[in-house]
Amino acid sequence: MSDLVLQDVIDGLEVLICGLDDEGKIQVFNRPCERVTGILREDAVGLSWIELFASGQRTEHVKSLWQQARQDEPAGPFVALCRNNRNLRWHFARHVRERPTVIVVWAVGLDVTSEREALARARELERMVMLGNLVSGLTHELRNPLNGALLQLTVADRMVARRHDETMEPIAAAIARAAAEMRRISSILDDFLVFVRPQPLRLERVDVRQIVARAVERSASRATPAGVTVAIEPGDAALAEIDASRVERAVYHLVANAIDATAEAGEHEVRVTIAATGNAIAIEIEDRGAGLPSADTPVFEPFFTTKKGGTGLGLAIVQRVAADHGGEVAYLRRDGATVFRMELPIVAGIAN
Amino acid sequence: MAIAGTTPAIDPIMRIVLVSPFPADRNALERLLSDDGHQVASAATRSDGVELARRERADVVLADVQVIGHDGHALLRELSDSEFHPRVIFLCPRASGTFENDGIVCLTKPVDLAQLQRHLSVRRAA
Repeated sequence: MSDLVLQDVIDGLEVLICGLDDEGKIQVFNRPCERVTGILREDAVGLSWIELFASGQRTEHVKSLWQQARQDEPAGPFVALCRNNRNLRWHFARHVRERPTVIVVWAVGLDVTSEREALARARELERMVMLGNLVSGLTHELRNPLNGALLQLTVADRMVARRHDETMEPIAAAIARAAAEMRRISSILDDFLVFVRPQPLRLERVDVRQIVARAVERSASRATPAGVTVAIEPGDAALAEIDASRVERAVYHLVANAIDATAEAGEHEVRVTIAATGNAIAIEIEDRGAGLPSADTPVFEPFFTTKKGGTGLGLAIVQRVAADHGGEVAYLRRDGATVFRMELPIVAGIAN
Repeated sequence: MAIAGTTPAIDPIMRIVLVSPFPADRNALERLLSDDGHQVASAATRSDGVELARRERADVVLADVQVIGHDGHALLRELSDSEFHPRVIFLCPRASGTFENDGIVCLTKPVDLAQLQRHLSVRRAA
């Protein structure tokens, strides 16, 4: 076989092939090597293989692999990160001398970058599943003592109520506050569960205005002490096929956030509008609070929060709920107001 | 301010057997439900609960799913025979969907006492 034919064979293979001389300098450099490194053959010949393909990595280890290869022992695999952040898996083999040549060792490499990325993604997924199981187990376990504690508080509340004694009022108030805090724990646990253990949607055809009204009603305990009123502009009937409890939960999170932002800015009103637009229902929650530091603040990322004491799950849940319905949620600024707009298709899964 | 369920629901009076491994739950529910006028007895384990329910001819068995394992239907079979069919209400860490689909009431924890009272006050069909 002529050298030219041999060169064509070497270039045509989907593996990286480098012929190295006694000093580890590149003498043969095939086309795949050029593609991966972006260096032309003319420029590569004479360069140190280690510097090109394994710079800053375990040089001693590579050298020992070379020595092994020179003694005709199989050497490798050795995975190194080369220029352009490609992961290459190398094997070294001794050159069998039939004719005099400068080449002592062949380095044969495979680009395993995508293989490694897939592995990393699989590991990440596995980690998320494990985390999900952990959180799910934890929230289930916490519900038991929470249930016992709340029931015991109910017993205490009844005992206090039976005294018909004014001096008992602060005790009754303390019991009520403790119970409210425990319900808050329960609601936080629900949020975590919604997030780590997605459940299939339970779709029903409802008027979205009713669902929004329920969410607003639930937020009263937050709005009233903060001196904030939530005004609903319901518009026309807005029938849609949705998971009512989940949408209520999402709207509640949006309204609660708006109440907090409004109170913080010393303002007093949150406005909620519901409108049918084409084949979607748009729910907008508008406040005159400070808004987000910038439009690309990752508020929809789980565990991201700008609030003291927030879990960072509220908006992530809102987005999850919208996406599960085939809808979307967006943040916008309009005439100095902060608007969160949730759009849900009238028939779940069929977006505009 | 009342927390929940301070209105006694005395009609109809039920013989209730509570089955829960959690002492705080048994203790509180026994007090609250007897306070509402019901006759309440409790057990910590499934076998004690079944025995108690049969002996007391319970109208309602209020069982924590943790004592019955994953098979609520087995408990129902153990409890019921030709002339004895107590109503069963499960307490669950969260809605599972499986019991609800079979028409069994499943109250998620933390239990809303008012909701429990509503379920107890439903007169069963003859």
